[in-house]
Amino acid sequence: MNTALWLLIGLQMRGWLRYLLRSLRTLKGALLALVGLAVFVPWLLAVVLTPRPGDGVFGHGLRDAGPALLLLYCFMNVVFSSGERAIYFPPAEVNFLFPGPFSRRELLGYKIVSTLIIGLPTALFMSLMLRGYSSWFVASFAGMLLIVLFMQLFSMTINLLAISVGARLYTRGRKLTAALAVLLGAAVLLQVGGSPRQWQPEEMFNKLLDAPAWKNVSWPLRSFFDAVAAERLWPDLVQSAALGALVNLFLAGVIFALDAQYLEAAAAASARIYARMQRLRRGGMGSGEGLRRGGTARISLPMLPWLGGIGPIGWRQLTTAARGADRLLLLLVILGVALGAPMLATLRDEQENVLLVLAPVALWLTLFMTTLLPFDFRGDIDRLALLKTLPLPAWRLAIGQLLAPVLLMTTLQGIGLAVVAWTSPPSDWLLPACLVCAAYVPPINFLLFALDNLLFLLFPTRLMAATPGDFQALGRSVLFLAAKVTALGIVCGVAVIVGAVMYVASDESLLLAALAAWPVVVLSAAALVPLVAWAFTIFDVGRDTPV
Amino acid sequence: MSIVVEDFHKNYGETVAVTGIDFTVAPGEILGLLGPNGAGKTTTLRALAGILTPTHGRLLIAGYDIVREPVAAKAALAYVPDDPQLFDRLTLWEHFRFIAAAYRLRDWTGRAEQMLERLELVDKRDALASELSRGMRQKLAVGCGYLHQPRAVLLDEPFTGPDPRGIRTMKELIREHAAAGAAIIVSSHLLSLFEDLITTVLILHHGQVLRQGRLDVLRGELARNGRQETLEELFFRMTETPAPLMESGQAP
Repeated sequence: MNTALWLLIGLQMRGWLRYLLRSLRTLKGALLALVGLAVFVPWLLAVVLTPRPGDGVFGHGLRDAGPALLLLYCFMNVVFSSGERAIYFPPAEVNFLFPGPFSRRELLGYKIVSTLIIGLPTALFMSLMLRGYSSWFVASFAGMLLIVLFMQLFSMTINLLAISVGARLYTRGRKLTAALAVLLGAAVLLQVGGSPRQWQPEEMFNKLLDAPAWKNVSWPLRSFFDAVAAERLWPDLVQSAALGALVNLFLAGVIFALDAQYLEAAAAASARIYARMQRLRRGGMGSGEGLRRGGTARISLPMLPWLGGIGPIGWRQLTTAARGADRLLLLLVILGVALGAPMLATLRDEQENVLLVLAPVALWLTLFMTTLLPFDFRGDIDRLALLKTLPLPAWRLAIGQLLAPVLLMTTLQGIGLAVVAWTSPPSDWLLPACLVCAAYVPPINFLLFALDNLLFLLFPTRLMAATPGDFQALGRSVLFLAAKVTALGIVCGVAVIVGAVMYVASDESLLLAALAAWPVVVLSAAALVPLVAWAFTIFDVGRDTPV
Repeated sequence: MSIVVEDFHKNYGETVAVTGIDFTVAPGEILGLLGPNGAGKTTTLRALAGILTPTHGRLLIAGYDIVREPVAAKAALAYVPDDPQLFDRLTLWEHFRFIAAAYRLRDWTGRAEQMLERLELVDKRDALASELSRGMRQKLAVGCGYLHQPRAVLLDEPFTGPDPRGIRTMKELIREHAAAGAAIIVSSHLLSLFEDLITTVLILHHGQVLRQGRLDVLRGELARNGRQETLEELFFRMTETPAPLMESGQAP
């Protein structure tokens, strides 16, 4: 590889370290990092000091189940990926390296080395998580690094093959791969013998893993997991790691031998990915994702009534949410079904308790899920200057901005509540209880989103994944969560006291107690509006907002 | 010739971006690449820079084919895109360090210092690229481009970011490098800023060449026909009747 590219890798690593250290020089940065470390170090100690959990995944050792999971990932990557394939280079690399005096192979070498370096923290984290399945940390780390590199090289090989053979042929190739996967599955089933209907899932999985066809196909991948689980340096680790390295070298050889004309596809795909990342920086998850390739709007919402300016502000956010949140809503629904269905099934026998158990769980989930719906000030970080020029009082603007996420979350929870009401056997208490819950949902959501926005406007940051080793980001998340939990605890505490007084005064009427506590929640939510408006007013749009 | 474009075609799927253009840029020449949005200017520059692969045709930089001998061609080339993206966590000086290593330059520090001074970036020498404004980013990208004294320079919209002094410096640098023997292509919409700089003009529209030639010859022709047009007026006259969008396989 060109020495300049080695220099660039060195300079970028130095830049990353400088970035981490620079923010530690301020008191705020140092305190946030301390909080982050205070969470991270105990977690790390807990992981390291916890005794080994014993035998492996789904009742199997890692050696048997690992190759199956890795191969599944690789097949999924080919079969379910979009038709267009390309290797991602950040825009600066496209600007400086593509027109620079570097061959395509040199740039691929640079990409592989960069991938390996970026994979180090991932491998470290994964080897810590898999510590229970490994007797030796070094072996676990080496194996995980080889696996991370294999996944990247596999993806690069597929991308370059796709570019070499063309889009149409690649699509056919994907179908062929899917067909091959089905054939492989059938071959394995035939070798296992007997009728699969008679087996339990775990027994079937065990039999499939023991089939000779599977063992033949998966042997190159087995070396990675042999390395993870190696007990001695020689011959266990050295032999398996060498075999794993050979597999990766073979893939690297294919990549270099192809020498595909990948620059154009990479530049175009990188520009699109970068644009998507910029949209994420501005608007969080899902923003703009609902636009078609040509940028055509797919969904239009009718304009809301004026309402002193609240309507148009809310309409803009709702329109953004409607166009950007399709995948997000799908994710939320899947989450709801995945988490809610088993819980409902468990609680069906205890129908009187179902809402009492589900309501705190829903509240706790909402506390975390507010970041998934940033259709408010948090998603408008690059548009706050424009919002400040609008001829509206700040408090109306604040309500308008909070409207979309509150409505979305309330709708989702309303659907959940309807499902509970529909699936539960009829009883005297069910309808009033559901109505009380429905009355509480909007003010609690408003309270949570208002808290999120207040904290964001006072301590702004962009909605992006943290850099590895960025303990400040971790500290910030912990502090924000603590602030939200504390505020929610105070409000709920006061509401419970008011409700308890009414409960006693009304001769133990739960309904009246709930009704008496409701205004406390509503007033608390309303009290946050002037605070959010004040934070928006004092927000300095000229300040540097860290990622 | 330092830059040669022969029968260059570029298709994106079924959309035709550029269809059969030919031109050359000699050492010392400054070619102004004009055209409305979507005319094919950036596509042409990116193909010359080796980022896009031509669908058909030959592109030479300093005598090297950009497709067949990309490394040799790129070693003689500088390309500055319209919105340059830098390595955010590298300082300005580290950008120069990397460029010097990439083009295997010796004794480059003096030239880099001089470039920082001329582009008014001296006090930002150790600042991170992420802290720069768009104009400063453009200046730094231009500075990096000129550091290895390229024989062919491709500048895409270089006047949209910098302040007036910066624009003046950019123009001075372009003239100096042209005088030193570099062939330069400048693409810009700011025709008034352009007019006193370029020696040759090439007007693209819907991927085709509408007009090309030396600016003074073009002006002479217009004067003989009784027209006293500025470059802007000429541009509007040439592009006011847009050609229909071409699909793949259609004749130009």
